[in-house]
Amino acid sequence: MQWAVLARTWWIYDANQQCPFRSAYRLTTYLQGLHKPVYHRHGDVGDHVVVFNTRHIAMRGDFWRTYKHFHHTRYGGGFSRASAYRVHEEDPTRILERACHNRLSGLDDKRTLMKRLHLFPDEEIPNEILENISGQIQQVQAIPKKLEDYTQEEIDSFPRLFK
Amino acid sequence: MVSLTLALLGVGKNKMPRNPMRQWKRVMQRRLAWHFRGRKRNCYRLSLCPVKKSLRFSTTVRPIRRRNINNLFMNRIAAGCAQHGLQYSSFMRALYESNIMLNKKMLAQLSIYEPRSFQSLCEFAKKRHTELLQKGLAVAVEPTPSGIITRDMIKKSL
Repeated sequence: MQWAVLARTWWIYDANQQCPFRSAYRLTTYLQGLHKPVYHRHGDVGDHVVVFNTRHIAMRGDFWRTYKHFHHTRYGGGFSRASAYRVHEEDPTRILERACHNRLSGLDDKRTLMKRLHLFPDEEIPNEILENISGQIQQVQAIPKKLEDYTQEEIDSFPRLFK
Repeated sequence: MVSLTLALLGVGKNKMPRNPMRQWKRVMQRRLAWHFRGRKRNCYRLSLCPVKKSLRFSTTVRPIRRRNINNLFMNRIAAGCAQHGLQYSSFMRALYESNIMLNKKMLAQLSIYEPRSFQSLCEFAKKRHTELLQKGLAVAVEPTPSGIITRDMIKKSL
């Protein structure tokens, strides 16, 4: 086997305008090591994943309002639930973190895998982490172009049906 | 002559052991339970039930083990295919339809230890896919034989 097969690589992922749940599906495959042919659950073959722009994730439909995060402090009357938009205001990385956490359910080494996931709300990433990165994960969704992103020339040159 | 009454009565050191198999049972238990977690590893009483269960599992879990190993092979092959831009399902289908009799175990071994052979298999699957596509396109584009009227021909004439 090649010597670099067992190395723990660092991957980067841009979460701008991406669905957190679909991204979590892809990110957890890299965290577990399912993208490697030498995969085994006990083999500790997972990689590090660095995600930036988690502040700008996109959820479908009513999910910002209707998707709830639950929390119980294990004391009496300590149950609370919050909509996704409130959680996002408080901590912009928590939705993606919870999505990945839920996808890794059933694994013994879930905690260690989550420690290898690094989330940043904006594009500021510390240099120590940037130096380690050696690959990029492809985005899950193609970002559609907004009307504001089109230049005036493109709008004018577009063929018109009616005058 | 030595008096044999004490020896025959079984008094003191000569007492017949109540449980002659005691030492052996504990040794056997330790052999079966050495890899357990907690006190079941060292204490005989606590390990009685877990050892029975482990012996039961060793037989009942055989189909589950086969299933798990099969799933592991499938995951490994899928990872190897993804490195070459293929999906597991289309890869296996291509091999099946071309009568390539490689089982999942060997494919998983190839994907780890023989990357070039695995790459050639992936290239074969991709090539087969393009050939089928071209064949399908050719079938769609070729003209209909004479004596047959299709709805398209009627619409075009109108």
